[in-house]
Amino acid sequence: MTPEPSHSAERVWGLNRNDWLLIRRDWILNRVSISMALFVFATFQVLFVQAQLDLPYVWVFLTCMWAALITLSPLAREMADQGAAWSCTLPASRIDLVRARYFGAWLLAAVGYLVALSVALLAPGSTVVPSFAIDLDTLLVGATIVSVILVFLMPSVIRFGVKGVFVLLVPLNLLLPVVFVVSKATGTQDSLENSLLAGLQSLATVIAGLRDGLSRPLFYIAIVLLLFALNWASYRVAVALFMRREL
Amino acid sequence: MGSARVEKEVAVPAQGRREALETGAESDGALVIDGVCKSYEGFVLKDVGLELPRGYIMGLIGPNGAGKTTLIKLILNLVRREAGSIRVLGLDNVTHEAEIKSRIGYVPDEPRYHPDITLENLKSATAPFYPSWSEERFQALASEFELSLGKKFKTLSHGTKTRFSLALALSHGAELIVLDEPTSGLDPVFRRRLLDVLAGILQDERFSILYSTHITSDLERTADFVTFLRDGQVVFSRPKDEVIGRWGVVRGGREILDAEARAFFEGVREREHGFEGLTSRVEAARQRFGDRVVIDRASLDDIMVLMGRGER
Amino acid sequence: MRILISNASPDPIYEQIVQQVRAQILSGDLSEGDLLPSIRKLAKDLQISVITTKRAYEELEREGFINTVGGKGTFVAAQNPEFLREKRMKAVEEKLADAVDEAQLLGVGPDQLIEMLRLLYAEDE
Repeated sequence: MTPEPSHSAERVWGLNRNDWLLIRRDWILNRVSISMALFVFATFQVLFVQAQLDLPYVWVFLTCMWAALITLSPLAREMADQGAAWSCTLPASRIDLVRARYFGAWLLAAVGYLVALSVALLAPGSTVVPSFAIDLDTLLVGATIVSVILVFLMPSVIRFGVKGVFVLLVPLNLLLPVVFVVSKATGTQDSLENSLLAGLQSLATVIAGLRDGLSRPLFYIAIVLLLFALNWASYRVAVALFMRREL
Repeated sequence: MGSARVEKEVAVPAQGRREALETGAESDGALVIDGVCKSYEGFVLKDVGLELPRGYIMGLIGPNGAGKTTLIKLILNLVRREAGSIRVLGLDNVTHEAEIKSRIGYVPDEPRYHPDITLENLKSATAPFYPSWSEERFQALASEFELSLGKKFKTLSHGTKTRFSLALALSHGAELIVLDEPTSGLDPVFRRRLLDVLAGILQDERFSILYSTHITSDLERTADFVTFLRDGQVVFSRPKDEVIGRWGVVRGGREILDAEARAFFEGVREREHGFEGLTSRVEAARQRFGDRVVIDRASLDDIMVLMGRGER
Repeated sequence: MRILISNASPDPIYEQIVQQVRAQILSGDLSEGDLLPSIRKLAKDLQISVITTKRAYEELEREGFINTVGGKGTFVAAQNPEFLREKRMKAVEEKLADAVDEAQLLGVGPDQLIEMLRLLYAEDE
């Protein structure tokens, strides 16, 4: 008797059967905590809307950051509970495990955004305009925010665990003020600020240039491709890290 | 420990392995390990080899820290091997990782599932991964093992966690069952029951079991093969009947124990009022020491404790 | 078939099985054509290893007490009564020879030995 290798060729949206089962498993294992996080998230939306701030991009920023952070919860919990050993005894390869995590995270981010959007739209006194919230520009900005967070945090959590990432982030957060204090003391503050600003500005110029140079559809495609490439690179790094993990 | 003695002992497995094949193994054994190495800081698993033909149960014995768990984790590819090969049901365990794992039923020494999830949910998260999952079998085992599926994993005792892990591992028609110290948290009544369940699995001669334990009495009767691991090395790996019943423990006064006698034994333990010596040559010992000693059959425990001891 | 395994016995487990099955065949408790349990089933019942059980069956087969018919199972072989009797007589003879050896060591003559044998018979009856 040789059971069909569970690694069957049929794929749905680029995912094999194992990937879907892994996403399903993550949902079963984390549905309580995810639901709770979404509830807090929804509450935040209601409060934000009540504040009557007319700052649509702040809304996008906060919403997408929330959505992205929620997606890390299955991975974070697995790392904290030392559950990775169980995952690795399932009949799935380690690549399957990482791929499922990335797809699952994006799926969850999308669900999170939809939940946030519905709450923000339906909450009384809402200033969020539907046409803005589902505008392609808005969605791409959101996707960029989610990407930046996932691309950085997914491999880091796999490598260092949640605690490890915090331990890493604290010195990073301290580093910035220290740099400013030092630069102020040495009188180079202006040039530091200027070079930081110049850096940001040139990034904006490149994007603006792309936007002006390319036709609209081409620009969107370019951004999507860029985000995809970033995620893909991060995924490869995560796979390499996870392959090396000893459990 | 003397290096000469180690070489002599390490030479044994090859013979054991050949005989293992003659007991009617299929061309692709359930588990074939060859020359596997793995090093951690302060611990080295060196050149480990063993062969478990299909249809049999092998005991993996050795003191704590001998490398049993590491070897099992290498089989599951939970840790990466540095050299050698591991073939499970004829397939390399790394290149065919996913397929092999669907055909292995694994019970870790400390089962860890998500603590806040009920057993029922843990099961339903796991079951669909296995093409041969049998819900009927799982329910039968769950009641046999007295599991309350509504309980959260973290509320279980160590023994019950192991029982749950066993129920999962035995419900998907796994052809190779790998148990890492399954009985350490279990009472004797359940241990006996587990041995019954395992013997039931072996009624089908395609199925095989690798069973690691330091409670050797579990294996004294039921194991077909025994692999003895110590300090990261295989001391021997052979059919159990060649070990038990053929090896003896010689007990006598210390005055007998001169250098020559000491060299005769595979291991010696001295006590205030006498010594215990382990030998694979019981007849020779009888002729040599005659009435001055008593000779008993060596148990696995005797072998584990005495082998390689007391060398000067 | 009834088999009792003793862990305390000096005989190895496979030998205990051989002796008990052999005794039951010789005594007629098991007769020609009786089906024995499969090797794996017996191993499970006795909570012993498959290899041990296999070895016992092989030994019994070699001695001509049982036959394995592929796909059907293992059966008690046809026993030739003459042959069986001869075999058992031989066992008696061997034991008597042992007794004679012991007796000679102690300087016990044939008459005295025969007298002892008589007494033993009388005791049994």
